[in-house]
Amino acid sequence: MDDPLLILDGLHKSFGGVAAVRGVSTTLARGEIRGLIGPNGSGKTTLLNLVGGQTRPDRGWVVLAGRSLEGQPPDAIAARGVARTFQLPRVFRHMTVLENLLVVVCADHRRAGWVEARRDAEALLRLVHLDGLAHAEARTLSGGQAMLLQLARCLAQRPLVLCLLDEPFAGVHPGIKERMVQAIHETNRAHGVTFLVVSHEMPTLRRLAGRVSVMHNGAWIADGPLDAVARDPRVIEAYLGRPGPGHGPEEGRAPGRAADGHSGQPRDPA
Amino acid sequence: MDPTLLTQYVLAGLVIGGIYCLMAVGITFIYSVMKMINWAMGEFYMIGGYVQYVLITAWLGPQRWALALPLAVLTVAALGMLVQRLLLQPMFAGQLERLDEYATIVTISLTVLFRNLAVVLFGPYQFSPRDYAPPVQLGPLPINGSRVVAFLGAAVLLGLFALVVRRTWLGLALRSVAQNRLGALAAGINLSRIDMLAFGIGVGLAGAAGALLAPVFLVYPESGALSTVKGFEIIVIGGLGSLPGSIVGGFLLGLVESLGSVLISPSFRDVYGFGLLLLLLALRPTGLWGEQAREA
Repeated sequence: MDDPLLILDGLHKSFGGVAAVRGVSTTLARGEIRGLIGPNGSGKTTLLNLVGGQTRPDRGWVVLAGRSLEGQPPDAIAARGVARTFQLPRVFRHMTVLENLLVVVCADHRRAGWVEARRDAEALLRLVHLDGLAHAEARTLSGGQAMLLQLARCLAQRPLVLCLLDEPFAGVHPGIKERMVQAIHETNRAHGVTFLVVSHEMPTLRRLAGRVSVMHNGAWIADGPLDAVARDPRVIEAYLGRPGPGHGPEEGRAPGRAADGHSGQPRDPA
Repeated sequence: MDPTLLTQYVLAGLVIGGIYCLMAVGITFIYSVMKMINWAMGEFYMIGGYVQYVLITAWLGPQRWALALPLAVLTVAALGMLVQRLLLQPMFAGQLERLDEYATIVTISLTVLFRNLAVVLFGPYQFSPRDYAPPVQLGPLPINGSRVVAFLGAAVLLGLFALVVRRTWLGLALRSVAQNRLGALAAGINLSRIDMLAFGIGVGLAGAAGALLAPVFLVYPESGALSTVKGFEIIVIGGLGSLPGSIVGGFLLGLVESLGSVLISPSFRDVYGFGLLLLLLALRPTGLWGEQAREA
C-alpha cells in the first residue's frame, strides 16, 4: 500500500500556443482525498482530462497503480477504475435517474446481472438520497440534483479506484452539497477509493481533503494542508495577483519567491 | 366516394407506411447515436433488395423467401458495420463528435459507388422475385400478399428494435451514447463499438425494407434513390432525432400518398409527401416531435 496510486510525471499539454498544463509531476496516495485549487484557467480541468484520457498529453506520463495509461482511450481508462465528473453535469437527460446509474454497467469490461446491477444502483441512490427520484427523467432534475446524479454515476463505476471530480459543488444547494460530501467520505472509507477534487469551495474542501494542491498558469505551485497552502505567498499571489508597492512586508516577499518557481512568466493578458 | 374503396386505400397507405417507418427509424437512429446523416440509406435499401433476390433465385428457391429475409438483413447490417469501421471511423479518430461534412461526403460517395457496383454486377436491369404470398382477403378487400408480408415484417422488426433499445444492456448503452457522447465515454462505454453497431442496425433496417419490398417495387440500381428521399421527408415531418416522430411520420406519409393517389391523381404519388412536408414546415418547423435546437 506504500506505492502511490497515481503518478503524474512531467505532464505537459499545449493548445495552440497556450500551455495549459506545464510540467506537472505529483503523486496521489491510495485512499487519499486531494483537493485541487487554482484560479480560473490555471489548467485544473485540463489536468483531469489528461488523467481521464479525454485529452492526450504532449509530454509526460500518467501511471495508475504501477501501469502507464499512455495512449489509452477514456473507456479503457474507465475500465481501469478511473471515473470522472464534469463541470457541466453530463447526465443522460432522457433516461431515468436509475437508468443513468445502470449505464455504467453496460461498459464492455463489466457484465453484471440486471438484478445485481439494479441493487447496486438503488443502494447508491439511497446513499445520495436520490432514491425518491429513481424513476424521474434526468432532465427534470435541478442543476444541483444533476450534479449529484453525475457524482453517483461516477461512484457506480466498477472497478473504482480513482474519482476525478471537476467542480462538483459549484452552484449546488448546501443540502445537496452535504450529501455529496457524505457520499465521498463513505465511498472513500468503505472502499478505499482515491479522490482528486477540483473546487473553489474552501470550507467544503477543508472538510474533505487532507491535502490540497494549487495550480497556476498550468504549473503545480504548492501542495499541503489547506491552511498552510492558503498562507503560501505564491498561492496568494496566484489568486490576488502580484502585490503592488503599497503592500506590507510579509506579502512583499512574494514576487521574489515566485521568480524561482514556475510562475515567473508575465501574465498573459489573453 | 365509395367507403370500401377508401378503406382499401387507407389500408394500402398504412401498409406502405409501415415500410417507410423502417427507413425513417434507421436514419433517425444513426443520426441520434452518431450525430451524422447517412445519405446512402437508400443504397443499403437497394442492396437489401439485391441480396434477397439473389438468395431466393440462386440459392434458397422462391418458397424459402422467409429464410432469405433475415439473411439479407444480416448481410446488409454486416456490410454497414464494415463500411462504418473502414470508412467512417478512421475519419473521426481522436474526435468525439462526428463532423457532419465528412460523413456527408463519404456517404454521398457511397451512393455513387454502390449504384455503379450494382450496374457492374447485375446490369441496369430490373429484377423482381415472385410474390411472397397470394393476395390476402381483408374483409371484402383483396390486398397484395407481398405487401402484407412486408407490413408484418416491418412491424416485427420495429417491435424487435424497440425491445432492444428499451430493454437490453445494448439499448441502454446506445441510448446513453445518443444522449451524451462524452458522458457515455467517461462512464466506460466503448464509443467506436457502439457507433459500429448503431450503423449496422440502422442500415440493417433499410436493408430489411429493401428485402421486404423486393417483390412489390422492383430491384434495380437506382431503386434506393426515392426511398432515401422519402426517408428524409419522414424525418422532417416527424422531427429530426425523434423515433416516435419517425413512426408517425412514416404512417402519415403512406396515408397521404395513398389518399392523394385516389382523391387527386395517382400520377403525382411522390409529390403529395412533399406537399405535406411544406405544409408542416410552414406550421411547425421543428417537425412533430423535433428538438428545438441541438443540444451541445
